[in-house]
Amino acid sequence: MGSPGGLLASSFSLLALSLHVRDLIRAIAAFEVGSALLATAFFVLAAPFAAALELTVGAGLVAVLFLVAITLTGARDEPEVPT
Amino acid sequence: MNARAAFAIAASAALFAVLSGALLTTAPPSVPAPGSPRWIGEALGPAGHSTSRSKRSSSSPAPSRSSSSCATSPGVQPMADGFLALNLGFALGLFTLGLAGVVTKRSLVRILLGIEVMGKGVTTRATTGEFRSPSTTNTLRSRRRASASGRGSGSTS
Repeated sequence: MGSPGGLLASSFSLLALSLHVRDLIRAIAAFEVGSALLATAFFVLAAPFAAALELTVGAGLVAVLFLVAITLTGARDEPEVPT
Repeated sequence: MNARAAFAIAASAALFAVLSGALLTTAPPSVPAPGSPRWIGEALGPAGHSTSRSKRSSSSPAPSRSSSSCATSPGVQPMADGFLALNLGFALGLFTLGLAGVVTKRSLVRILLGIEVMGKGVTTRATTGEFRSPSTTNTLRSRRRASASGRGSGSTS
């Protein structure tokens, strides 16, 4: 888990989950955790500035903006596709 | 997912892989810092096959370098290390995953999430390209230091 490969694999899984989970709140939560794991991998890869940027913008600001947008629009679930 | 979307995803992923390989195999600058690795394969593995760079250096002799590994003209050895290939594979996977989300999803939030995931893939690739083992120096830092010292010595002389 502490190796960059494990961190990247966990991040990849969570980011893939964020694109496929139906509930948008859970999708944003998975995206946030995946971004945090990716930032940790950047720290391990000796890129502290990229990690800090990823942690503040990718995991913090973007996720909060998504949550605010979902809360304001009230679209918690993905709309049904008409058949 | 229709055939056009699958083709777009495959073509973009292949383009990303080709661009990543091209950036990885780009020749280093002509003025490396003394004792520092000039490209990532030199820091991660043994010297690779000879390329046109070595041919050029054989026709016109290069200036003397302090490091013996630099004097052997290492050439280009793409993806010499499994760790590097693994990280680049994850970067390519993230980019493809985000692209698939952009192309196939209908919700605007999902499309924006896909764009974010694509950006994370590009960031991962850039971070992997600049990664060195802890025992070696960062290439960009050593290049800046070398250029700064060159400018300083040029202004004094």
